[in-house]
Amino acid sequence: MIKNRKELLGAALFLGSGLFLGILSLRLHLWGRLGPTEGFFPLLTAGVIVVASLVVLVRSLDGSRPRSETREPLQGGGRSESPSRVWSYSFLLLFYGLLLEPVGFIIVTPCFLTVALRFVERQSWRRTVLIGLASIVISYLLFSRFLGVPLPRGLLE
Amino acid sequence: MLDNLILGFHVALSFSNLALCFLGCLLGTVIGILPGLGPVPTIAMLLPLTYKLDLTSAIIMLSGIYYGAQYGGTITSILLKIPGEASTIVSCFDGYQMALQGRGGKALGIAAFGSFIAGTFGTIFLGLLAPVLSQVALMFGPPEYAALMTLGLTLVVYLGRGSVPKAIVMGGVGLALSTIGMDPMDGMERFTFGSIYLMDGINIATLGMGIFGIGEILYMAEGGENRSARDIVTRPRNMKELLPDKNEWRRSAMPIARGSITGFLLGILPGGGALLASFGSYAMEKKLSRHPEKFGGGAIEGVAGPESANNAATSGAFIPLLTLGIPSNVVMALVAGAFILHGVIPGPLIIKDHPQVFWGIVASMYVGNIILLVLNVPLIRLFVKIIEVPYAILSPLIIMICIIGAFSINNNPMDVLSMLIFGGLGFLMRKFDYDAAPLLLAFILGPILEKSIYQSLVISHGSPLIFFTRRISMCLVAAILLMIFSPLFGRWRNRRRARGGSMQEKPLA
Repeated sequence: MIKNRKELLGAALFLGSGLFLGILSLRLHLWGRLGPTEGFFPLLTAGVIVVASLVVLVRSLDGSRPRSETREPLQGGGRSESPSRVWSYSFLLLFYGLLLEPVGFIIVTPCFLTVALRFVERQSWRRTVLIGLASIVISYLLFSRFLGVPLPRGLLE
Repeated sequence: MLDNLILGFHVALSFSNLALCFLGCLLGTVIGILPGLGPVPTIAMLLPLTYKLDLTSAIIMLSGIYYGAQYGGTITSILLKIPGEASTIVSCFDGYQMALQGRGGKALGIAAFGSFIAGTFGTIFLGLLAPVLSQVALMFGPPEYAALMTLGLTLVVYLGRGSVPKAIVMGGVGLALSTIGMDPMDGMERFTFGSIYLMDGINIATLGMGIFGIGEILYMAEGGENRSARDIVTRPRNMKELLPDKNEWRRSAMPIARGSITGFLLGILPGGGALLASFGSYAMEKKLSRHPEKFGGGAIEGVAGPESANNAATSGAFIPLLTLGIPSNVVMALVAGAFILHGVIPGPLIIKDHPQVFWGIVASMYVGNIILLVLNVPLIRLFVKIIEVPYAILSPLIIMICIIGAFSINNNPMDVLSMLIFGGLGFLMRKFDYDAAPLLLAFILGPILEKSIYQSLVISHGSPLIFFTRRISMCLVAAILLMIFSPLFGRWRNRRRARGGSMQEKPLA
């Protein structure tokens, strides 16, 4: 039942997306004097998504189990889920992404690595500092010097 | 062909390209060793960095990563029974058993040598077949291209992993994402919601890094995956332990030869690639073996054949991309992305307009195979240590690389935000059990498919019969219909047989 609830939710999500795309496509021109115009292909695509999502939805309501990916856990045992880690990483990602340019690589990256390694992944302070320092130096040399990627200087400008 | 090969080697053996090939093989092997991370997220993460390189160098490095990752996955499959990459799952069956018997080094050695031989074979065939096929491709017009793209997407959906309706949904989502930006025929804005950023469409690098990099990290974070150091069954202590003996070579020779041919041919098929090649080879070797009962218990043929097949498939996979412009699997879709980012459309004109690119890539694949052999055989002990690095340390580092990579595309924080959004999508896709491969392929093929359909319908004044009246297009459409309806026909026939059987069993009144 739990698996079918996930199937149902996933199918509903994509069905909704397909319908949304269809509505947006209908607002565009579908056909011109010479043939199809900008709305035609997206509408066709929306139709494909809606029909396929409906099939998945019906199967999940039916209780039948579709052939699913064989993504067995890479290590033995079942997979225990920890949504709090997902939220932690999501917030960290958002802050890192948003602050990278205004604050700068040299400041933001050590902060991100410290919080991620020490507080999310619960590594020791020694390990956190060593890995953080090594990563920043290596990535700075690799990206900025070797590959010529300009890293944002932010507040150090 | 000899002149072209000389040109190719001249390009591939330049110091910078050699260094990039070496770097690609090394990075690919290191990343391929890490379970869950394979060539796809690695190439996705490093794609933005290839902006700074010229096209030939970029493809050389990405190709090195591809076959480096194949071998990296083999190391963990054999020594830990943890497949580092999907196509190396098969090596777990007999390779791990060989490791338990103290023959892990031989398994790794035969995998390395078999991969080298198969890769060499694949490279030669690529050089021979691609120019011929590109001439055929020049006969393709818009209806043929539309039909071919559709066939490619159909094959990916039906031959890929997971449920078919879900794969179709993913294909649809990929096509939908490809429509964001400007319409390819009239240049009209679509689904940009007034954003200047979206007018250029979605960037393949942010999509790939988001779905395969960030999405995977979030999924691993949710699962609390924190590999502890596993006892490695056997570590090869010296070079001698890696070299198979005469008997093992004799038993491996034909599996390597068969694997090379099978792998190359299967690699050409969209949706096929290394995964199909390795499983196909294993099944074939077991069937042909005089002692099939030994398979699963440490038969060296069970490692030699599949490992050769998956490496030959990497060469075969380049054929549709370099001749028809169609990526046959997700990795090739990302490589196609690299071409597009450099302003070159992969397809039949590559050999004619950019011969140094094509022949440079062919020659670099041969050089890459030598580098892999030289690199991996003595460094296996070092690579094995990398397996012991827990995800708790790797995850933040991968995030850092992805974010820097995304930012470096255009020095635009919107690319980072875009990647994070796709990361969320990738995570949800993993949660709901949707395979990302059809999405990425459809995203790459979408603009070509749309343009081909539009042009076809303009030529035919709106009539869809154009797809059925041109010979090549008609054959391709027939193949699509066969792919779609043959499983349904098979199921209907089985149901009839079952009903017929149950009626015969009913007692007579």
